Amino acid sequence: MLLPLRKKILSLTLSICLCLVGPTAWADYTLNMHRGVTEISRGIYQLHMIIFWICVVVGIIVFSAMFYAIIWHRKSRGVTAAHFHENTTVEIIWTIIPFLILVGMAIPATELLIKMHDTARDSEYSIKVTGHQWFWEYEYLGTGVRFTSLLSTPQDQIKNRDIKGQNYLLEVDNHLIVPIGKKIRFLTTANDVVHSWWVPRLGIKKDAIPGFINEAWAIIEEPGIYRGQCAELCGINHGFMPIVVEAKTEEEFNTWLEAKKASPTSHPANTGNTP
Amino acid sequence: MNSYTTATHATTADAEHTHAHGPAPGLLRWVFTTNHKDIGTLYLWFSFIMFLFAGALIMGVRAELFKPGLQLMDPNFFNQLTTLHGLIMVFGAVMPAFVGLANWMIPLMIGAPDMALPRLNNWSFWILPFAFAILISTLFVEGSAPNFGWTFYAPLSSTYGPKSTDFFIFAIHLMGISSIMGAINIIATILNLRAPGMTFMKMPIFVWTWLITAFLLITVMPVLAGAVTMILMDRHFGTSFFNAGGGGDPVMFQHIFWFFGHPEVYIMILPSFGIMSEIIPTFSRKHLFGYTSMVYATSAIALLSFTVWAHHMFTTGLPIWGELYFMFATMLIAVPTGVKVFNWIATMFKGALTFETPMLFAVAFLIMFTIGGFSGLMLSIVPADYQYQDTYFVVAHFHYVLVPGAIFGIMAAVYYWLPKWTGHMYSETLGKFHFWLSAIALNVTFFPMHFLGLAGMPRRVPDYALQFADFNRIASTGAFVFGLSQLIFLYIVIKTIRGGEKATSRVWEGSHGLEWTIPSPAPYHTFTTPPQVD
Amino acid sequence: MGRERRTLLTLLFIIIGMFGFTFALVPIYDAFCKVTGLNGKVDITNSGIVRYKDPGADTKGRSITVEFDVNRNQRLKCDFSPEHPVLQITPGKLTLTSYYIKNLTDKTLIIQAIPSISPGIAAKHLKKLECFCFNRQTIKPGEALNMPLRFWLEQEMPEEVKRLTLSYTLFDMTEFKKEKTDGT
Repeated sequence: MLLPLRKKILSLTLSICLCLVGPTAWADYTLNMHRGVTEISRGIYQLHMIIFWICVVVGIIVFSAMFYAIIWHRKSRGVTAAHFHENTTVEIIWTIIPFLILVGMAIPATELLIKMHDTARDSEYSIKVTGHQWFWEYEYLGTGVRFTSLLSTPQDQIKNRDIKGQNYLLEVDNHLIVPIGKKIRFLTTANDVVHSWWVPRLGIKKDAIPGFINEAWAIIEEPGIYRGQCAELCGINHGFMPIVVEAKTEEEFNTWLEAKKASPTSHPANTGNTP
Repeated sequence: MNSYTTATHATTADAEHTHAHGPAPGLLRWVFTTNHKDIGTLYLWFSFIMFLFAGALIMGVRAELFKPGLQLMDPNFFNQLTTLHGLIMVFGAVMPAFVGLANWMIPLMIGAPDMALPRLNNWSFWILPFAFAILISTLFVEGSAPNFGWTFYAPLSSTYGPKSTDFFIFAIHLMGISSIMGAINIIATILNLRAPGMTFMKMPIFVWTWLITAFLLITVMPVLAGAVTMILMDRHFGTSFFNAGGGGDPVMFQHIFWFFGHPEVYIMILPSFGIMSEIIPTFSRKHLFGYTSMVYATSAIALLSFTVWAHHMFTTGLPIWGELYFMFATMLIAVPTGVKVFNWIATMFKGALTFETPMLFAVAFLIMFTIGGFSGLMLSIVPADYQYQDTYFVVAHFHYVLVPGAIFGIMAAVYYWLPKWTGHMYSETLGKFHFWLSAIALNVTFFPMHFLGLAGMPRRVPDYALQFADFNRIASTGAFVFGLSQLIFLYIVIKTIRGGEKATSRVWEGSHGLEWTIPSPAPYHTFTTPPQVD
Repeated sequence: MGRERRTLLTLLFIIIGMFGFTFALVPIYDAFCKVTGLNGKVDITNSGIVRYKDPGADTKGRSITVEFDVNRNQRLKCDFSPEHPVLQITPGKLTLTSYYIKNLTDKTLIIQAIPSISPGIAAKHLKKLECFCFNRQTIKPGEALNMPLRFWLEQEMPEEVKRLTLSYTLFDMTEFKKEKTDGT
């Protein structure tokens, strides 16, 4: 019954392809990475999709060869095994072709990486991000504005005594307010153990290492609220120290910053009285 | 020409000679044995028990992650479960299982009467129960068990680690000593005890992959020992290896750990590659395609594995040329790995395939290990890795290479050689049932984790935002089914030991190699006179 | 058994060698960082070899913004702040600034300041003549100190660096008996 078998194979292949096409169409269902709101996050998304599709195509070719053998070279079909067991030419070909594909992948990856390391060229704002067990602290260098940002999801929701809110585990008391359209340097460090500051929509993840500062930059293109989480195991409440970045227009940001500078809760010096 | 056709002509006179001295009677036989078959059995049973225990731990984790919210445990206990799951699976299940297979099969495959250092062999095994008793005891004593992940980064493990960290360090030292002694034994055996006529290029590939793995082991296990010693010194001897205040650097810990850690993951997969290179030719009734290429590819993978460690550290703030170098070197490993996959498929191509249980595991390995390889390639791309690092995307990647990769390799080997060890065929129906349940369940468990990672779920968290709930529920369900399926495997192994259809020497129609020239079950002493290999 | 003995000895040599190599990685890592200036790790041992030469008028008109940042590890109970949070610095010219530290506890503290520079490519071009980070400082309860920092940015600083951050983290080393040495 060869024909029905061929149809089965065809439909199987088609359905696998559809499943794989799925992720792009389902970006809204949080199945795939988001494009994000910075040039870098978009570059990462595009690179991710290119590599993914190359892998899919290679996978289909390789698995097709294998499935072909599984179906057509079964002993139960009455075939006898061939005797070949080496071929230098073929070995060379299937070493060189993958190597060339890898070179092709490496080129856009290198270009994007160079852009991401472009921290030295001037920026307009420097924000220091300090990881603590178990919350983040933000300081706008040179302004004296400094505050902590703690998880604000109530324990009742975590302990299942209350219904969970929409931003369960991704909400904090004080957002990190930033302006759109301006180059911002995020300097990360930590107070105790290694943490990691990750905001997917900005395309930024940088480890926060005690005693050292790391640097990442972003120009945020759209106003909005962007949520992230700590991405390095740092103890008991590693899962409970989220990040919320709120990007505002430049005017709104300046208004906010001025108000914050003048407010009594801001600290002009790094004093021992603050957490 | 390789050994396959020639070995069947090897003299089998000795193989039929039943030795007058069998194993010592009673339980103490197992304590004092220096016989490679006994020690192989000990390692295999130990690793199976550890596999089930570490599996039980992760059932607890997946139960907590079944729904959002903290239902069953506090976050610290969750961290202990994930830490111990990793440590026990790596050091207690996968590595000892491969050593057990090496012990059983290498002397048989090379025509040697036993391992080169039989008493060392006994000690290598018996250290392990002590080491794991110490490690597992930390769960039951006052205070927290290790809770810093199997990767025990500093200063979380040094300055901030619980008291049990010192027990953990001692246990790791013991496990390292066991692995190192085992590796010495394997190298000495392979280099010095091959039957006359068995040149290096006539050795079965499983022997080759273990030779290479053993060199990786003796090179990097001492580095792990150094790393845990430094942690110990930072904790108790006033040093500041990883404390910036004293002039040290937490990132240096990561460099040292991953210099061990990356070769370690190849230690966990190369023997599996060797097993596939034994099983696939047998059930294709065709010689392994490209024997020489396979040897070179495995060696290339092993050498390259020393040069890529920092791809686990892309977000730590490496300078650009460091990230570029490690990206290129890591991508490069895909080439020899791909060569191996192509060679396996070429072995199957135009063969005469049958799909007994070992071959089912091998085909699943080919597909799913390759999928794990693809996600590994995605991870090697540094800019994209910034979004994948420390998320469930990484968890999906390494479980695809470890479960269908290493674990299925071990299971395939057990089904493949169980008739040789016990003299009985396992039930093919039950074997296939175990396979299909495991293969489907593992995909249900780990495939959704790719999506979870891409959608933004970090690793090592006991609770998560609501958009991750559906896939976590699916993954947990798959995990429970996968876990239960392994009890079927346990049943099959015990059943086969106790009885079953009698196995011939050859066992499998397409098999080649010295191990198939001796009776099933293999006599207690074999190849006391070395066979002549043409 | 001659072959076997030789194999064994070779393997043992590798094992012991790799264990030693792990410890050797510590000074190797430090040397690597010093030579390349990676990790923003700045030389904090005053080797006395650093020599400053005033370039006079030959400064090419460059100006780099330097931010002075502070951190207190484990929320050390000290006031710690820079005299100048931001300075415009001409590469080649010596700059003097200072840091204010006040012990807010009722015990004597031994503290160590650890510097870190971002971006990494700038680190090896920041040279210090005098820095409070060279030594551990003892501060009595309630005592306040003004600690000087005398440094310059080398003119070899890459062109693309327009802004850099010098960050000090203050560590409480009161419990540590060993004097800080290079990397251990």
